[in-house]
Amino acid sequence: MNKTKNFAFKWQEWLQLLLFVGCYVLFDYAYFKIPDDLFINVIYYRGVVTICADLINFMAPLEHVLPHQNHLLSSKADLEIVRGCDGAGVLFLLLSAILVFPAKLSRKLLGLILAVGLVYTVNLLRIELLYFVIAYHHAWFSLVHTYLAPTLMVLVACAYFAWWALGAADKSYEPA
Amino acid sequence: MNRRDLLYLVLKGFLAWLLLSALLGVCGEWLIRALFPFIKAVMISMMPELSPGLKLLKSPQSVFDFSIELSALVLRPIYLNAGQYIQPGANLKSTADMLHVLVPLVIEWSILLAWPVRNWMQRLWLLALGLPMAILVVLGTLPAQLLGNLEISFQDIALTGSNPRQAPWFVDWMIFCEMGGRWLLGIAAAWLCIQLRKAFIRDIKPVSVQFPL
Repeated sequence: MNKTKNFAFKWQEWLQLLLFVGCYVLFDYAYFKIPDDLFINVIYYRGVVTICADLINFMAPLEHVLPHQNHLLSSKADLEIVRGCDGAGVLFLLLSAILVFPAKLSRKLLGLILAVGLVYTVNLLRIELLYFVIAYHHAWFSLVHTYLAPTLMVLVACAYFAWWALGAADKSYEPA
Repeated sequence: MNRRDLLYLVLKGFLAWLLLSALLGVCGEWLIRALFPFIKAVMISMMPELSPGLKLLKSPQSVFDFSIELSALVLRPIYLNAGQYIQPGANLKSTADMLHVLVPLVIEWSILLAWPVRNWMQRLWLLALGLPMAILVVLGTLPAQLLGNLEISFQDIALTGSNPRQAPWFVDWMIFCEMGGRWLLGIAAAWLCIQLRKAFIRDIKPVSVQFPL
């Protein structure tokens, strides 16, 4: 009886991994169905670039940053936001993990909403940081853009997921 | 697990990330160089028309990073469209940032170092399984990235003529990985290590040895 239970539990874990990867692939597929024009002129412009420009100008008024389509423009830098620089990858990971984790529907909904808010906020901070890096420490841009920011964003997402799952789990998980 | 354990877990994850980042700064170059023969073998199987050569260069854009440069000699004509092709003997170049390539490895090992275990033996097994898994992830992503960059430049020319060359599968794979798929691979690799350890490696109970006085 105990063996059957263990076997079922193991299969459930493997199924969860498959569903997690499947969800991520579906999100990724849907993301590429969104036309570039919509991203550049609406989503990035209104949802990211304008807000980042306002925040940078609020923090450093002498920057005079202007939002233009998917660009943050100033006399010191031109930062372009393209597909993949919008935090979508981390968001898809987090949404997929929350969707496949066994939890109550209300908890899942709360987790999904908070995840969107968290990734969006962290990504705005990342873009602002990248603006200042490209403007004042250009040699650091590659390091921050390709290594520090992505790894830290994934770690933040993992920490958030662990916190959410702690409240959502109806059973205690044993260590490995 | 309670909130204190969670805080401890997050702190462990962050410290693991710091440690791995420092290690990559010291050993990243050596690690990638050690993988060059395997990366070349994968590239040859993906695109037999090319003879690849790999070099590690100090990145011109960053003081902290290296660039992995692919220098590929064309062995057979590569037809781009009905009227254009790349002649044998041409040398094609493509680059990738070293640290960017190693991101999934850092994600995977941060998870493995932070994952709660019962004893240090379990941790050692996780890390031992993590190494080949990380190598597989690098071999699954870097060749596609380097060849995919070349293929995208082929496509730019191919689409200017009639009957353009069809983009191979690894271009889609490269785009998937660049969009965040490589992070997914890092997480999935860590998860596989944890499951493999649970499934195949029995716990060894620590033996207490008493020495006679």
